Amino acid sequence: MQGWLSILIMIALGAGFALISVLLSGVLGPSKPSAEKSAPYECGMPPVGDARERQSVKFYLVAMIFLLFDIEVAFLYPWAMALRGLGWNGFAQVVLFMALLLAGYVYVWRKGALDWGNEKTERARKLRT
Amino acid sequence: MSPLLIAQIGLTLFVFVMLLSSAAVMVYVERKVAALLQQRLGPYLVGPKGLLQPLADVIKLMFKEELRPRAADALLFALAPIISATCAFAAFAVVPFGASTTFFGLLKIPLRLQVADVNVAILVIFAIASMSVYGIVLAGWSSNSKYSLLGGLRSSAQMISYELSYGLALAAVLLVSNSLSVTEIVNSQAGSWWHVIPRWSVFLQPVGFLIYMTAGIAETNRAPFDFPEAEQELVAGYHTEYSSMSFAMFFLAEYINMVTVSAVATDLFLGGWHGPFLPESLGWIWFLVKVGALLFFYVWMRWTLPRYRYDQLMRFGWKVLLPLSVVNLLVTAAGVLYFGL
Repeated sequence: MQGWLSILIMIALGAGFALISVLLSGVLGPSKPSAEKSAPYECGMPPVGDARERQSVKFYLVAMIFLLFDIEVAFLYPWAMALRGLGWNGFAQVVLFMALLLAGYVYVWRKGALDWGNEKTERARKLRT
Repeated sequence: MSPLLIAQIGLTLFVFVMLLSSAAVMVYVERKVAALLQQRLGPYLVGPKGLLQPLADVIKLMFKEELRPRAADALLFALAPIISATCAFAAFAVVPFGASTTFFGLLKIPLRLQVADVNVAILVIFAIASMSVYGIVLAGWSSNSKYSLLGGLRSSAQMISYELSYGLALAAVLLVSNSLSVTEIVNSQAGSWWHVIPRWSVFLQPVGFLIYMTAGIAETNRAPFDFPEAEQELVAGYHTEYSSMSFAMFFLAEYINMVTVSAVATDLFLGGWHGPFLPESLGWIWFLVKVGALLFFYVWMRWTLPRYRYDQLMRFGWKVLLPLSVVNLLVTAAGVLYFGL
Protein backbone atom coordinates (compact mmCIF):
# COMPACT_ATOMS: atom_id res chain seq x y z
CA MET A 1 0.00 0.00 0.00
CA GLN A 2 2.93 2.28 0.74
CA GLY A 3 3.67 2.50 -2.97
CA TRP A 4 0.26 3.88 -3.82
CA LEU A 5 0.46 6.34 -0.92
CA SER A 6 3.66 7.76 -2.42
CA ILE A 7 1.95 8.18 -5.78
CA LEU A 8 -0.86 10.08 -4.07
CA ILE A 9 1.67 12.29 -2.27
CA MET A 10 3.36 12.98 -5.60
CA ILE A 11 0.03 13.90 -7.23
CA ALA A 12 -0.80 16.18 -4.29
CA LEU A 13 2.62 17.85 -4.48
CA GLY A 14 2.29 18.40 -8.22
CA ALA A 15 -1.25 19.78 -8.01
CA GLY A 16 -0.39 21.92 -4.98
CA PHE A 17 2.68 23.38 -6.63
CA ALA A 18 0.80 24.20 -9.83
CA LEU A 19 -2.14 25.71 -7.94
CA ILE A 20 0.04 27.83 -5.66
CA SER A 21 2.23 29.20 -8.43
CA VAL A 22 -0.79 30.09 -10.58
CA LEU A 23 -2.51 31.78 -7.63
CA LEU A 24 0.69 33.54 -6.64
CA SER A 25 1.16 35.03 -10.09
CA GLY A 26 -2.48 36.14 -9.96
CA VAL A 27 -1.67 38.05 -6.76
CA LEU A 28 1.73 39.38 -7.82
CA GLY A 29 0.97 40.27 -11.41
CA PRO A 30 -0.85 43.43 -12.45
CA SER A 31 -4.49 43.29 -13.48
CA LYS A 32 -5.56 45.94 -15.96
CA PRO A 33 -8.08 44.26 -18.22
CA SER A 34 -9.23 45.96 -21.40
CA ALA A 35 -11.46 44.93 -24.28
CA GLU A 36 -8.49 44.31 -26.55
CA LYS A 37 -6.62 42.23 -23.99
CA SER A 38 -9.53 39.95 -23.28
CA ALA A 39 -10.31 39.29 -26.94
CA PRO A 40 -9.08 35.99 -28.39
CA TYR A 41 -5.83 36.33 -30.33
CA GLU A 42 -6.34 36.49 -34.07
CA CYS A 43 -3.10 37.99 -35.30
CA GLY A 44 -4.14 41.56 -34.58
CA MET A 45 -7.39 41.46 -36.52
CA PRO A 46 -10.76 41.87 -34.75
CA PRO A 47 -11.94 38.35 -33.87
CA VAL A 48 -14.52 36.89 -36.25
CA GLY A 49 -17.32 34.76 -34.88
CA ASP A 50 -17.11 32.04 -32.26
CA ALA A 51 -14.23 29.56 -32.16
CA ARG A 52 -16.42 26.59 -31.25
CA GLU A 53 -17.69 25.86 -34.68
CA ARG A 54 -18.07 22.54 -36.43
CA GLN A 55 -14.79 20.73 -36.83
CA SER A 56 -13.73 18.03 -39.22
CA VAL A 57 -15.39 14.69 -38.48
CA LYS A 58 -11.99 13.04 -38.96
CA PHE A 59 -11.02 13.82 -35.39
CA TYR A 60 -14.07 11.96 -34.04
CA LEU A 61 -13.31 9.00 -36.30
CA VAL A 62 -9.75 8.84 -35.02
CA ALA A 63 -11.00 8.93 -31.44
CA MET A 64 -13.42 6.06 -32.09
CA ILE A 65 -10.86 3.88 -33.86
CA PHE A 66 -8.40 4.64 -31.07
CA LEU A 67 -10.83 3.33 -28.46
CA LEU A 68 -11.12 -0.03 -30.23
CA PHE A 69 -7.38 -0.49 -30.67
CA ASP A 70 -6.49 0.81 -27.23
CA ILE A 71 -8.69 -1.81 -25.58
CA GLU A 72 -6.89 -4.40 -27.70
CA VAL A 73 -3.56 -3.12 -26.36
CA ALA A 74 -4.89 -3.35 -22.81
CA PHE A 75 -5.88 -6.99 -23.49
CA LEU A 76 -2.37 -7.77 -24.64
CA TYR A 77 -0.68 -6.81 -21.35
CA PRO A 78 -1.97 -9.80 -19.33
CA TRP A 79 -1.34 -12.02 -22.32
CA ALA A 80 2.27 -10.80 -22.51
CA MET A 81 2.72 -11.67 -18.84
CA ALA A 82 1.20 -15.13 -19.17
CA LEU A 83 2.71 -16.13 -22.52
CA ARG A 84 5.37 -18.45 -21.06
CA GLY A 85 2.65 -20.48 -19.35
CA LEU A 86 0.31 -20.44 -22.34
CA GLY A 87 2.92 -21.57 -24.84
CA TRP A 88 2.31 -21.85 -28.58
CA ASN A 89 -1.38 -22.39 -27.93
CA GLY A 90 -1.74 -18.91 -26.46
CA PHE A 91 0.38 -17.48 -29.26
CA ALA A 92 -1.92 -19.00 -31.90
CA GLN A 93 -4.96 -17.56 -30.13
CA VAL A 94 -3.53 -14.05 -30.16
CA VAL A 95 -2.58 -14.41 -33.82
CA LEU A 96 -6.22 -15.32 -34.49
CA PHE A 97 -7.35 -12.31 -32.42
CA MET A 98 -5.01 -10.09 -34.39
CA ALA A 99 -6.33 -11.52 -37.67
CA LEU A 100 -9.88 -10.60 -36.64
CA LEU A 101 -8.71 -7.10 -35.76
CA LEU A 102 -6.82 -6.91 -39.02
CA ALA A 103 -10.11 -7.36 -40.88
CA GLY A 104 -11.46 -4.29 -39.08
CA TYR A 105 -8.24 -2.40 -39.69
CA VAL A 106 -8.35 -3.16 -43.42
CA TYR A 107 -12.01 -2.12 -43.53
CA VAL A 108 -11.26 1.19 -41.82
CA TRP A 109 -8.29 1.77 -44.12
CA ARG A 110 -10.30 0.99 -47.28
CA LYS A 111 -13.16 3.19 -46.08
CA GLY A 112 -10.68 6.06 -45.98
CA ALA A 113 -11.01 6.77 -42.25
CA LEU A 114 -7.22 6.86 -41.94
CA ASP A 115 -6.79 9.20 -44.90
CA TRP A 116 -5.63 12.74 -44.28
CA GLY A 117 -4.93 15.55 -46.70
CA ASN A 118 -5.22 14.75 -50.38
CA GLU A 119 -5.23 10.96 -49.92
CA LYS A 120 -9.00 10.91 -49.88
CA THR A 121 -9.52 12.73 -53.17
CA GLU A 122 -6.90 10.51 -54.78
CA ARG A 123 -8.65 7.39 -53.54
CA ALA A 124 -11.94 8.67 -54.96
CA ARG A 125 -10.29 9.44 -58.28
CA LYS A 126 -8.77 5.98 -58.45
CA LEU A 127 -12.17 4.40 -57.84
CA ARG A 128 -13.73 6.41 -60.67
CA THR A 129 -11.14 5.49 -63.28
CA MET B 1 6.59 6.92 12.24
CA SER B 2 9.14 4.38 11.21
CA PRO B 3 12.47 5.63 9.78
CA LEU B 4 11.67 3.86 6.53
CA LEU B 5 8.45 5.81 6.11
CA ILE B 6 10.24 9.09 6.84
CA ALA B 7 12.93 8.16 4.33
CA GLN B 8 10.23 7.32 1.78
CA ILE B 9 8.51 10.68 2.24
CA GLY B 10 11.87 12.44 2.11
CA LEU B 11 12.64 10.63 -1.12
CA THR B 12 9.29 11.68 -2.60
CA LEU B 13 10.04 15.32 -1.79
CA PHE B 14 13.55 14.92 -3.19
CA VAL B 15 12.22 13.51 -6.48
CA PHE B 16 9.69 16.33 -6.67
CA VAL B 17 12.38 18.98 -6.27
CA MET B 18 14.66 17.16 -8.71
CA LEU B 19 11.88 17.08 -11.31
CA LEU B 20 11.34 20.81 -10.89
CA SER B 21 15.04 21.51 -11.28
CA SER B 22 15.30 19.12 -14.22
CA ALA B 23 12.70 21.24 -16.01
CA ALA B 24 14.73 24.38 -15.23
CA VAL B 25 17.94 22.71 -16.41
CA MET B 26 16.22 21.56 -19.59
CA VAL B 27 15.11 25.12 -20.38
CA TYR B 28 18.75 26.20 -20.08
CA VAL B 29 20.14 23.19 -21.96
CA GLU B 30 17.65 23.62 -24.78
CA ARG B 31 18.61 27.25 -25.30
CA LYS B 32 22.33 26.56 -25.00
CA VAL B 33 22.26 23.57 -27.36
CA ALA B 34 20.14 25.54 -29.84
CA ALA B 35 22.72 28.32 -29.66
CA LEU B 36 25.53 25.80 -30.17
CA LEU B 37 23.87 24.33 -33.24
CA GLN B 38 23.19 27.76 -34.68
CA GLN B 39 26.62 29.19 -33.77
CA ARG B 40 25.22 31.71 -31.31
CA LEU B 41 26.05 32.32 -27.65
CA GLY B 42 22.64 31.67 -26.14
CA PRO B 43 21.80 33.03 -22.68
CA TYR B 44 24.95 34.39 -21.02
CA LEU B 45 24.01 37.49 -19.05
CA VAL B 46 22.12 36.21 -16.00
CA GLY B 47 24.55 34.47 -13.66
CA PRO B 48 27.73 32.67 -14.66
CA LYS B 49 27.39 31.53 -18.27
CA GLY B 50 23.69 32.38 -18.09
CA LEU B 51 22.99 29.55 -15.64
CA LEU B 52 20.41 31.57 -13.71
CA GLN B 53 18.37 32.29 -16.86
CA PRO B 54 15.54 29.80 -16.01
CA LEU B 55 15.19 31.38 -12.57
CA ALA B 56 14.98 34.84 -14.12
CA ASP B 57 12.34 33.53 -16.54
CA VAL B 58 10.23 32.18 -13.68
CA ILE B 59 10.43 35.46 -11.76
CA LYS B 60 9.49 37.40 -14.88
CA LEU B 61 6.52 35.13 -15.60
CA MET B 62 5.42 35.36 -11.98
CA PHE B 63 4.99 39.13 -12.29
CA LYS B 64 3.10 39.03 -15.59
CA GLU B 65 -0.59 39.71 -15.93
CA GLU B 66 -2.96 36.74 -16.06
CA LEU B 67 -5.03 37.12 -19.21
CA ARG B 68 -8.19 35.24 -20.04
CA PRO B 69 -10.28 35.66 -23.17
CA ARG B 70 -13.74 37.04 -22.49
CA ALA B 71 -15.67 34.06 -23.80
CA ALA B 72 -13.41 31.44 -22.22
CA ASP B 73 -14.72 28.83 -19.82
CA ALA B 74 -13.19 30.19 -16.60
CA LEU B 75 -13.05 26.96 -14.58
CA LEU B 76 -11.65 24.71 -17.29
CA PHE B 77 -9.30 27.43 -18.45
CA ALA B 78 -7.78 27.61 -14.98
CA LEU B 79 -7.83 23.84 -14.50
CA ALA B 80 -6.07 22.80 -17.72
CA PRO B 81 -2.48 23.87 -16.87
CA ILE B 82 -2.83 22.35 -13.39
CA ILE B 83 -3.93 19.01 -14.86
CA SER B 84 -1.00 19.07 -17.27
CA ALA B 85 1.55 19.74 -14.53
CA THR B 86 0.04 17.20 -12.11
CA CYS B 87 0.07 14.39 -14.68
CA ALA B 88 3.68 15.17 -15.52
CA PHE B 89 4.74 14.85 -11.89
CA ALA B 90 2.64 11.76 -11.22
CA ALA B 91 4.03 9.81 -14.16
CA PHE B 92 7.56 9.92 -12.78
CA ALA B 93 6.43 8.49 -9.44
CA VAL B 94 6.78 4.86 -10.53
CA VAL B 95 10.09 5.24 -12.37
CA PRO B 96 13.02 3.79 -10.40
CA PHE B 97 16.33 5.59 -10.83
CA GLY B 98 18.82 3.56 -8.86
CA ALA B 99 19.46 0.31 -6.99
CA SER B 100 18.45 0.02 -3.34
CA THR B 101 20.57 1.92 -0.87
CA THR B 102 20.80 2.12 2.94
CA PHE B 103 22.11 5.71 2.80
CA PHE B 104 25.54 4.70 4.12
CA GLY B 105 24.10 2.45 6.82
CA LEU B 106 21.54 4.92 8.19
CA LEU B 107 18.61 2.58 7.51
CA LYS B 108 18.16 -1.00 8.67
CA ILE B 109 16.36 -2.10 5.52
CA PRO B 110 17.67 -0.82 2.18
CA LEU B 111 15.42 1.70 0.48
CA ARG B 112 14.70 1.49 -3.19
CA LEU B 113 15.51 4.66 -5.11
CA GLN B 114 12.03 5.17 -6.49
CA VAL B 115 9.03 7.09 -5.26
CA ALA B 116 6.51 4.28 -5.45
CA ASP B 117 7.28 0.61 -5.74
CA VAL B 118 4.11 -0.80 -7.23
CA ASN B 119 4.02 -4.14 -9.02
CA VAL B 120 2.06 -2.80 -12.00
CA ALA B 121 4.31 0.18 -12.69
CA ILE B 122 4.10 -0.19 -16.48
CA LEU B 123 0.32 0.07 -16.35
CA VAL B 124 0.55 3.18 -14.16
CA ILE B 125 2.92 4.84 -16.65
CA PHE B 126 0.62 3.93 -19.52
CA ALA B 127 -2.45 5.21 -17.66
CA ILE B 128 -0.96 8.55 -16.62
CA ALA B 129 0.52 9.09 -20.08
CA SER B 130 -3.04 8.81 -21.42
CA MET B 131 -4.31 11.26 -18.79
CA SER B 132 -2.04 14.05 -19.94
CA VAL B 133 -4.16 14.43 -23.09
CA TYR B 134 -6.86 15.99 -20.91
CA GLY B 135 -4.83 19.05 -19.97
CA ILE B 136 -4.17 19.86 -23.61
CA VAL B 137 -7.70 19.18 -24.86
CA LEU B 138 -9.27 21.27 -22.09
CA ALA B 139 -6.80 24.11 -22.68
CA GLY B 140 -7.61 24.10 -26.38
CA TRP B 141 -11.34 23.95 -25.94
CA SER B 142 -11.80 26.31 -22.99
CA SER B 143 -9.78 29.19 -24.51
CA ASN B 144 -12.48 29.81 -27.13
CA SER B 145 -9.82 30.86 -29.59
CA LYS B 146 -9.55 29.37 -33.06
CA TYR B 147 -5.84 28.68 -32.83
CA SER B 148 -6.16 27.06 -29.43
CA LEU B 149 -9.03 24.85 -30.55
CA LEU B 150 -7.22 23.70 -33.68
CA GLY B 151 -4.08 23.05 -31.66
CA GLY B 152 -5.98 21.10 -29.03
CA LEU B 153 -7.83 18.98 -31.62
CA ARG B 154 -4.68 18.18 -33.55
CA SER B 155 -2.80 17.43 -30.39
CA SER B 156 -5.40 15.04 -29.01
CA ALA B 157 -5.64 13.16 -32.32
CA GLN B 158 -1.84 12.96 -32.49
CA MET B 159 -1.40 11.80 -28.92
CA ILE B 160 -4.03 9.08 -29.03
CA SER B 161 -2.77 7.86 -32.41
CA TYR B 162 0.78 7.38 -31.15
CA GLU B 163 -0.33 6.01 -27.81
CA LEU B 164 -1.25 2.71 -29.49
CA SER B 165 2.27 2.17 -30.78
CA TYR B 166 3.66 3.36 -27.43
CA GLY B 167 1.59 0.75 -25.58
CA LEU B 168 2.47 -2.04 -28.01
CA ALA B 169 6.19 -1.25 -27.71
CA LEU B 170 5.85 -1.48 -23.92
CA ALA B 171 4.03 -4.83 -24.26
CA ALA B 172 6.94 -6.21 -26.31
CA VAL B 173 9.35 -5.31 -23.48
CA LEU B 174 7.05 -7.05 -21.00
CA LEU B 175 7.28 -10.20 -23.12
CA VAL B 176 11.07 -10.16 -23.08
CA SER B 177 11.53 -9.42 -19.38
CA ASN B 178 8.38 -11.14 -18.08
CA SER B 179 7.49 -8.61 -15.40
CA LEU B 180 5.26 -5.56 -14.93
CA SER B 181 7.53 -4.04 -12.29
CA VAL B 182 10.09 -1.63 -13.71
CA THR B 183 12.63 -2.54 -11.02
CA GLU B 184 12.50 -6.19 -12.03
CA ILE B 185 12.72 -5.29 -15.71
CA VAL B 186 15.89 -3.29 -14.98
CA ASN B 187 17.38 -6.10 -12.89
CA SER B 188 16.72 -8.59 -15.68
CA GLN B 189 19.10 -6.51 -17.81
CA ALA B 190 22.10 -6.85 -15.48
CA GLY B 191 25.28 -8.51 -16.72
CA SER B 192 26.46 -9.01 -20.27
CA TRP B 193 26.55 -11.52 -23.10
CA TRP B 194 30.03 -13.02 -23.64
CA HIS B 195 31.41 -10.25 -21.38
CA VAL B 196 31.16 -7.75 -24.26
CA ILE B 197 27.59 -6.74 -25.00
CA PRO B 198 25.52 -5.53 -22.02
CA ARG B 199 22.25 -7.44 -21.61
CA TRP B 200 20.13 -4.41 -22.43
CA SER B 201 16.69 -4.93 -23.89
CA VAL B 202 17.54 -2.58 -26.74
CA PHE B 203 19.60 -5.40 -28.30
CA LEU B 204 16.65 -7.78 -28.07
CA GLN B 205 14.14 -5.10 -29.03
CA PRO B 206 15.85 -2.72 -31.50
CA VAL B 207 12.63 -2.10 -33.44
CA GLY B 208 10.69 -1.74 -30.18
CA PHE B 209 13.13 0.91 -28.97
CA LEU B 210 12.75 2.90 -32.19
CA ILE B 211 8.96 2.65 -32.00
CA TYR B 212 9.00 3.66 -28.34
CA MET B 213 11.19 6.70 -28.95
CA THR B 214 9.19 7.82 -32.00
CA ALA B 215 5.91 7.47 -30.15
CA GLY B 216 7.44 9.08 -27.06
CA ILE B 217 8.51 12.14 -29.04
CA ALA B 218 5.02 12.36 -30.56
CA GLU B 219 3.43 11.93 -27.11
CA THR B 220 5.47 14.78 -25.66
CA ASN B 221 4.67 16.99 -28.68
CA ARG B 222 8.27 17.64 -29.54
CA ALA B 223 9.82 18.35 -32.94
CA PRO B 224 9.57 16.91 -35.53
CA PHE B 225 6.05 16.16 -34.23
CA ASP B 226 5.36 19.48 -32.50
CA PHE B 227 2.02 20.11 -34.22
CA PRO B 228 0.08 21.29 -31.19
CA GLU B 229 2.23 24.40 -31.13
CA ALA B 230 3.27 24.67 -34.76
CA GLU B 231 4.26 28.33 -34.53
CA GLN B 232 4.06 29.07 -38.23
CA GLU B 233 0.50 27.76 -38.56
CA LEU B 234 -1.14 28.00 -35.17
CA VAL B 235 0.66 30.85 -33.33
CA ALA B 236 1.23 28.72 -30.24
CA GLY B 237 -1.44 26.03 -30.53
CA TYR B 238 -3.33 25.05 -27.40
CA HIS B 239 -1.59 27.57 -25.13
CA THR B 240 -2.03 30.61 -27.39
CA GLU B 241 -4.24 32.37 -24.85
CA TYR B 242 -2.23 31.49 -21.76
CA SER B 243 0.09 33.90 -20.02
CA SER B 244 1.99 34.22 -16.79
CA MET B 245 2.45 31.11 -14.61
CA SER B 246 -0.36 29.14 -16.31
CA PHE B 247 1.75 29.33 -19.44
CA ALA B 248 4.81 28.25 -17.49
CA MET B 249 2.92 25.17 -16.21
CA PHE B 250 2.52 23.86 -19.78
CA PHE B 251 6.23 24.25 -20.38
CA LEU B 252 7.06 22.64 -17.06
CA ALA B 253 4.80 19.71 -18.00
CA GLU B 254 6.43 19.38 -21.42
CA TYR B 255 9.95 19.23 -20.01
CA ILE B 256 9.05 16.85 -17.20
CA ASN B 257 7.27 14.59 -19.70
CA MET B 258 10.45 14.55 -21.77
CA VAL B 259 12.44 13.55 -18.69
CA THR B 260 9.92 10.81 -17.90
CA VAL B 261 9.94 9.38 -21.42
CA SER B 262 13.75 9.36 -21.38
CA ALA B 263 13.87 7.80 -17.90
CA VAL B 264 11.39 5.07 -18.86
CA ALA B 265 13.35 4.38 -22.06
CA THR B 266 16.52 4.10 -19.97
CA ASP B 267 14.89 1.70 -17.53
CA LEU B 268 13.17 -0.49 -20.09
CA PHE B 269 15.65 -0.54 -22.96
CA LEU B 270 19.05 0.77 -21.86
CA GLY B 271 19.63 -1.24 -18.70
CA GLY B 272 18.65 1.47 -16.20
CA TRP B 273 21.36 1.94 -13.58
CA HIS B 274 23.45 -1.03 -14.72
CA GLY B 275 26.76 -0.17 -16.29
CA PRO B 276 30.45 -1.03 -16.09
CA PHE B 277 33.10 0.50 -13.78
CA LEU B 278 30.70 1.62 -11.03
CA PRO B 279 29.39 -0.36 -8.03
CA GLU B 280 25.63 -0.84 -8.02
CA SER B 281 25.13 1.65 -5.17
CA LEU B 282 26.45 4.37 -7.49
CA GLY B 283 24.32 3.14 -10.38
CA TRP B 284 22.28 6.33 -10.41
CA ILE B 285 25.25 8.03 -12.08
CA TRP B 286 24.85 5.71 -15.06
CA PHE B 287 21.14 6.39 -14.97
CA LEU B 288 21.68 10.15 -15.12
CA VAL B 289 24.22 9.76 -17.94
CA LYS B 290 21.81 7.70 -20.04
CA VAL B 291 18.83 9.98 -19.41
CA GLY B 292 21.00 13.00 -20.18
CA ALA B 293 22.10 11.47 -23.47
CA LEU B 294 18.49 10.80 -24.49
CA LEU B 295 17.45 14.33 -23.51
CA PHE B 296 20.31 15.78 -25.53
CA PHE B 297 19.08 13.68 -28.45
CA TYR B 298 15.62 15.20 -27.98
CA VAL B 299 16.97 18.76 -28.17
CA TRP B 300 19.31 17.91 -31.02
CA MET B 301 16.35 16.53 -33.02
CA ARG B 302 14.32 19.65 -32.43
CA TRP B 303 16.92 21.99 -33.88
CA THR B 304 17.89 19.69 -36.74
CA LEU B 305 14.73 18.25 -38.28
CA PRO B 306 11.96 20.24 -39.96
CA ARG B 307 8.40 19.65 -38.84
CA TYR B 308 6.33 16.99 -40.60
CA ARG B 309 3.07 17.86 -42.30
CA TYR B 310 0.01 16.91 -40.28
CA ASP B 311 -1.30 14.41 -42.82
CA GLN B 312 2.15 12.83 -42.98
CA LEU B 313 2.15 12.49 -39.22
CA MET B 314 -1.24 10.77 -39.08
CA ARG B 315 -0.43 8.54 -42.06
CA PHE B 316 2.86 7.51 -40.47
CA GLY B 317 1.25 6.80 -37.11
CA TRP B 318 -1.67 4.74 -38.36
CA LYS B 319 -0.35 3.12 -41.52
CA VAL B 320 3.32 2.50 -40.68
CA LEU B 321 4.00 2.63 -36.96
CA LEU B 322 0.91 0.74 -35.76
CA PRO B 323 1.29 -2.28 -38.11
CA LEU B 324 5.02 -2.28 -37.43
CA SER B 325 4.52 -2.42 -33.66
CA VAL B 326 1.97 -5.25 -33.96
CA VAL B 327 4.41 -7.24 -36.12
CA ASN B 328 7.19 -6.46 -33.65
CA LEU B 329 5.06 -7.76 -30.80
CA LEU B 330 4.15 -11.00 -32.58
CA VAL B 331 7.74 -11.63 -33.71
CA THR B 332 8.92 -11.01 -30.15
CA ALA B 333 6.33 -13.43 -28.78
CA ALA B 334 7.36 -16.10 -31.29
CA GLY B 335 11.03 -15.48 -30.45
CA VAL B 336 10.41 -15.75 -26.71
CA LEU B 337 8.62 -19.06 -27.18
CA TYR B 338 11.07 -20.46 -29.74
CA PHE B 339 14.28 -19.61 -27.89
CA GLY B 340 12.70 -20.11 -24.47
CA LEU B 341 14.05 -16.80 -23.11
